[in-house]
Amino acid sequence: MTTIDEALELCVLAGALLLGSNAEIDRTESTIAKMAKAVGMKEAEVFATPTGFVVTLEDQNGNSKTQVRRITNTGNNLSVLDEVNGVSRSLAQGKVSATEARALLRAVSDKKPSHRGWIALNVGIASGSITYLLGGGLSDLGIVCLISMTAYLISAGLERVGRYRILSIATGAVWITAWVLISSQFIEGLSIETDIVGALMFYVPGITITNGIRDITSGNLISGAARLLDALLVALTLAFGVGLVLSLGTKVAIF
Amino acid sequence: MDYLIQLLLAGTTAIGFGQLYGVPRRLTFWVAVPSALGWLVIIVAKAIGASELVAFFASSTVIGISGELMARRFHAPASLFIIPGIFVLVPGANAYQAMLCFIQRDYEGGVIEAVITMLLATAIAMGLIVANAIIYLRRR
Repeated sequence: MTTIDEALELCVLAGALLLGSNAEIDRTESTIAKMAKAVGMKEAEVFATPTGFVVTLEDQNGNSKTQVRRITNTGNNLSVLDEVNGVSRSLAQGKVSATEARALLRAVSDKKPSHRGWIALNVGIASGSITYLLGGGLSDLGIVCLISMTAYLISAGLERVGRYRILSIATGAVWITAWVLISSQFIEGLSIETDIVGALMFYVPGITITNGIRDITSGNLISGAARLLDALLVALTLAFGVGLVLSLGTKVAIF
Repeated sequence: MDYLIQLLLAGTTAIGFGQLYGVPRRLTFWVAVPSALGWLVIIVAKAIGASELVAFFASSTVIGISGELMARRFHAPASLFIIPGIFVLVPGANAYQAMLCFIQRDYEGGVIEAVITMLLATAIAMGLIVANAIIYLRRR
């Protein structure tokens, strides 16, 4: 029989992993409730927002416990979602015990993310591909591939030094726009607009926007509104960075 | 032939962004499917001359439904397929035009482009919501 303390630890661990990788509120709350029921708790009440959550569990004897957990560091790791989902499913099916589930969740949080060079390569491929889809040619594809790879490495480096997320996005936008303008001077037939849009595409906060919409439609209005506002801030930052370089470029009249 | 290349690149877009977002290894290549299907809808919509709004709505509905179905098939959260897939629809060009208009003090044009961007974003969001509702209805 699982004690309420062990159940609470398990639930908080799962919730922190999910919210720490930007999961939907609905998924977080239902996963925690499902896990609590699976280890024999009578009641489970969860209130989650993107920056923290509260769990209250009640066991069969009527004892209850509450824990608050603040989420400060959010990443975008979809594989965490997948693995926590798998653990909670096998727990509900009775394939693993509560202790084993806790060990599995610990292993998920200890896992290292992919190598940054590998991600940069993929960002380059994706940005190049989308530039072609937006109407660019093969030279656009190649240039954007190179520029967005370097921009990703710079942003990732800035984000690692300190948590300057917005600053790193602005820097990336400036870097990308400047290099697109410079290379358009040397390579014939580049489309400046398509290249900038394509190279910036990897800064678009896809998870935040998609999950913000999902949160609002599932009734988690506060979380959804906060996420969409965050996405809007990122979009405005990108526009600011691009606009800054474009107006400087035309003022200096080199371009 | 060009259409085939476009579908392929729609797939590599999703695979690349999937890796950026840490899609697990067993699904690396599968995330390409919803993206390619969504782009197929865009190609068809362009060919029959449908408006951008309709094309984006239909495409995001297809991405949503195929993502949810694949999620069922692979026992994984649907976000793993939908998030990398939706990138081909981001109305970046309109947002760029809006920004450009504002810089050049063409505020009227800027507002028009910004509203178009928001309408397209709404069409994408509605598509995902409709897809979610269809899947939910089928499940019950």
